[in-house]
Formats: sequence, structure tokens, C-alpha cells
Amino acid sequence: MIRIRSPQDLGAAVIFLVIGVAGVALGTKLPGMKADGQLGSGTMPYILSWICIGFSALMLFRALSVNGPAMEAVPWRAITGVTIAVIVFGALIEVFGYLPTAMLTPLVAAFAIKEQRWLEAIVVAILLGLATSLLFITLLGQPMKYIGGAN
Amino acid sequence: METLANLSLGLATALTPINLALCLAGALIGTLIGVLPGIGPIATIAMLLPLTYSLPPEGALIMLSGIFYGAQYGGSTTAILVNIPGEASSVITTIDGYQMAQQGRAGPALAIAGIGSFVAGSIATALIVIVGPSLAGLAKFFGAAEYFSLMVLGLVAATVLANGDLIKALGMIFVGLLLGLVGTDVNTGAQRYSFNLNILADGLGFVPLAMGMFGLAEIVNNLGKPQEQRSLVTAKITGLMPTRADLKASSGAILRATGLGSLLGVLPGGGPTLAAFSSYVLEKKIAGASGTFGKGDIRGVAAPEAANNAAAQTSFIPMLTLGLPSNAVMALMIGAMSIHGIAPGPQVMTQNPKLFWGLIVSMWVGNLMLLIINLPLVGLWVQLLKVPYRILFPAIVLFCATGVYVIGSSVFEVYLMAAFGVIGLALARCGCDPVPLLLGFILGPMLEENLRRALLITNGDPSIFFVRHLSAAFLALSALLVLLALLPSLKSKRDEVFQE
Repeated sequence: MIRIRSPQDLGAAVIFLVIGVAGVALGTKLPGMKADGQLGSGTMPYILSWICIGFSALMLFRALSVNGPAMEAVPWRAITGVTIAVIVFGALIEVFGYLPTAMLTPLVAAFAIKEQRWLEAIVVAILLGLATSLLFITLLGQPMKYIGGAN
Repeated sequence: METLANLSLGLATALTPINLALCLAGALIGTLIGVLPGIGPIATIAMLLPLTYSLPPEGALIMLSGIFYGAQYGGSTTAILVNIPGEASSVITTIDGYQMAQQGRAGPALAIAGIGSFVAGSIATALIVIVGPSLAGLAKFFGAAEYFSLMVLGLVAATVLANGDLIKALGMIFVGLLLGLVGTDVNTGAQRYSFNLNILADGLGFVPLAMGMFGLAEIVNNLGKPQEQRSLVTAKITGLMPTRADLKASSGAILRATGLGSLLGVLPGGGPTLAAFSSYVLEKKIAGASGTFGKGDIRGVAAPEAANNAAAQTSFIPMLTLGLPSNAVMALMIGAMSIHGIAPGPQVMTQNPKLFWGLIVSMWVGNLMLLIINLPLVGLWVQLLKVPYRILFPAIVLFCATGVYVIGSSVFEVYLMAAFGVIGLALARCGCDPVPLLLGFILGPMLEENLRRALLITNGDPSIFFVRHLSAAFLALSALLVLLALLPSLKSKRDEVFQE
């Protein structure tokens, strides 16, 4: 029975492995080292990807042999709230314009906390939308529209 | 004479009303950020890049550097008053600073932190003026091989001297280097990992990567922690000025810390945090039995504060003269310069003297401003700590999203930032620090370009890296650093230092 002694190291091994394998697999068509010793456009990516795989093996070995700290709990609610807020921003900015987007984004982000005071969150979102619109569009002259789709 | 002419050019640039205002704004924002726990200077600079986008390059860099050293000041204020280090470089200040505050000596502690920082900042600025040009002169001895080897040394040193897991940090550098290669290969025009997407032809955006991994990931990390109970110093802060005995006790510490900090700032991989830790340890050793370190010794505040400020200043030297970042904040500054179309390196001093000298003089002006504005504002900063995080974080999320969109003018980069946020959090959960990744990402393209150029010169013979003296020295030093870090006895010592 295999015993994981260091969950964090195992996680790191997985991440390094995914990146390394992706690097090798996606870079197979790139030209490698040339005959005259010059590097091709695929040489560095190839070497670096294999080094990542090497580190993955090293981490896996350590995960199984050396005791390490446990993985901290993942704050699912926080990560979902914050990530969806950013995606909402991206989805809306060129459809509805900056002002409505800038009010909705903080409101969506507010879901990241369990005990949210919603009235306060709504007021904060409205104020933030107004303040940042003024800052970015009027004061800093950024090419965004207050309301409405992109040009 | 030339130095004087340079300085007057710098003064003329830094003292224009607009640049003075930007310097003040940067210093204030930096202090504000330094005071707020949970948002470090890296995240702040990443988030505020868009604000400087529409400014002239001098103004933008003056403001960004103001944020950087302002954050050093702000971090110490909360470290002393509420035992919360605003950012990493003031962690060590909490030990004696908070003790002093509890003994009713918060005033002198804050004052000595301010004075120490100012003295250190002034000396370090003078050092940049003196050393900068000669170092830039050194750059003419730097060919592709030397640049490559120096970058290797920088990356290795950054990992070995930084805290955390050495093997993971090394691995993260390679991940960063790999990510830096996404996009069009400048030598052959081949597309690498770009999935035939036009948007990826220029490579992965530095801003979405930095904001995602530092800004967003930090927010989520903070939200995941239980609400901290902040024990504010409720007693009114009276008697701001340190006594004559205080000044006498700290003057030597300040000067020694300035020297040590200046040195560690220049070294690749050094920087404010390391400087603060080392100078504290040094003072503790010098004081011996006579010291009351850990129980409110004023030298325990003066030394790390002077050292971190000196290091913050001198870390600009390799960035401005060789175009190499010695730490993550400098990597961000290089990103900021590229956004403004300036290639960092020795040519900045000759082709853009206004920017170079203006930035240097503004550092000193900024330090003076901080000394004047910071002490009266202490009360305000303490009040600010009471703003709940549930109000702050949606604002930070909005700022990150807006910033990325404004800089890249592309929704794709906003999504990219969201993805990097998730990746950054996953890395943090596995005990992988994203700072080496960022350094690798910035240096990746430069490293490859210099490697290929060097091999082109020698028709593919790699011995050039070992035949040229400077290059060989850098590589030998890198190998030595890795070996030393892996030696069991030193490894435990290193762990001990970071534990402390």
C-alpha cells in the first residue's frame, strides 16, 4: 500500500507533470536542434518541459518518502465567487459598457463570503461602479463606454 | 562635474509639479497598501500599472517606485502599532516594535523607524548616484554569454536566498521560463504554444499573469483565513520624539544596517526582506548580552527598518544599469518600462537620462516626503485598519479586472487572469511560491535570446560560457550557491534563519 507522506509535494508533482507533459506534447512539431549546434525554436521548450517532468518525479519521490505538511483546505466559496466575478466582468464589458459591469462585478464577488451583509454590499457595489467609471473613463481617458457595447 | 550635471537634470525632472504630485501620490498609496495587511507591494504595483498607463514614462516610474518604498514605511507602522506586518519586509520589526508600543513607546519606535528609513534611503540614493554610472559602464564588457550567465546567477540566487522550499522554487523557475516562451519565436517566426491564436502570438500577458497569481490568489487566500482578531493599540500615542539615549543607541545600528541593506539590495535575489532579517540578526549578535532584543530594544526597530529601505533603493541599480531584476518588484518595474516602450538596460542612462536621473532624485524626494507626511498620518492609518475586508476585496477584484482589460484592451486577457488566479492558488496550496515563476517568466525570453546569440557567435560551441571570464565566474557562483544550499548543515541553518 502506497502511503502519501507529503500531500503538498504530491500536488506539486502533479502540477509539474501536467505542465511538462503539455510542453512536450504541444511542442512536438517545433524544429529541434540544428546540425550546426544552433538552437531551433523547439529546443528550449523541449528541454524546459523535460526538466519540469524531472522535477515532478523528484517531488513524487519526496511525497512518498519524506513527511510533509498536509494540504490546507481549499476555500471553494471564495475561489468560485472571485473567479466568476472576473468572468462576469469579461463577459459583460463589451456588451453593456463599463458602468453596469463595474457595479455587477463587486456584487458577484461579494458571494465569496458566507455571512455577507447584502444591503451594504449593494451600496458598496454602486459606489465602486460610479467611482471607478469616473476614474478610468473621465479622469484617465480610457477608451471605454459608460453604457453600451464596444464600438 | 558630470555627476552634478546629472543631478541637476534629475532635480529638474523630479521637481516638476506633476512629478512631485505623482511621487507624493505613489508614496501615499504605497503607505496605504503597506498598512493594509494582505495586499503586498507586488500585487499593488501589478494592480496600479493601468493607472500609470496614460502617464508619461518618467511620471509612471516615479509613481511606481514611490509605491514600492512607501509600502516599506506603511508596513512598519502597523508592525509597531498592531503587531501586524503590512508586508514581508516588516515582519521582523514586529518583534521589538510591538514590544515598545506596549511599553507606551510607540512614538519613539515610529519616529526611529522613520528616521532610520530616511537616513538609509538618503545614503542608498547617494550610492546609486556614485555607483550607477560606473556599473552601466561595466555593461560594455557584457556580451550575450555574460548576460546569459548573469541571468542564471540571478535566478539561482533568487531561489536560494528566498524563503521556502528550495526544490519547488527551482521547479517554479523552469515553469516560469517555459511560460515565457509562449508566442512567436523572434529568431525564426515559428509559433510556440499559441494554438494559432493571434492573441497569443505576442506571448502570454505579463499583467494578467502577475495580477492573477498575486492579486486574485492573494484575495482568495485571505478570504480562506479565519477573521483575525486585531488587538489595536488603544492608548493614545504621545511623545513622538525619541530621547537622546534612543538616538545614540540606534545611530550605529542604522549605519551598519544601511551598509548591509545596500549590499543585499544590489545582489540578485536579495531585496528588502532578506536585508531586514540579516541586519536584525547582525545587531543582535553585536549587542550580545547587553541587548534587550525581543523585549523592546530600539535597535531592533532601527536596524531592520533602515536595512529594508536601503535595499529597496539599491535594488534599482541592477535593474537600471543592466536591465536585470533583482527581485519580483523590479521584475514588475521592467514590465512597466516595457509597457511604456523603454527597453531596460545600460542604454536607459544615455538614451533617456531624464528618466534615469529623474527617477533617482525622486527616490530621495519621496523619502523626505514620507518622513514629513507619515508621522502626522499615523492616526489615520490606524483608523484605516478598521475597514473590514468584506468591503475591500470586491474593490480589489474590480480593480484587477479593469486593470487587465484597460492594458490589454482584450477580454481574453481578463479570462487569462481568472485562470492564473486559480493556478496561483493551486500552487500556493502545494507550497509553491509564485515569485520564482514570475522572475523566470520575465527572464525567459531574454535568457533564450542571449543563449542563442552566444551560440550563433561561436557556431554552436557552448564552451563560450566557460571561456569568457565574467561568464565563467557567474556560472561558478551559481553552481556554488546551489551546492551550498543543498549541503545538509547549511540547509538546516537556512531553514533556521527563515524560521526565526
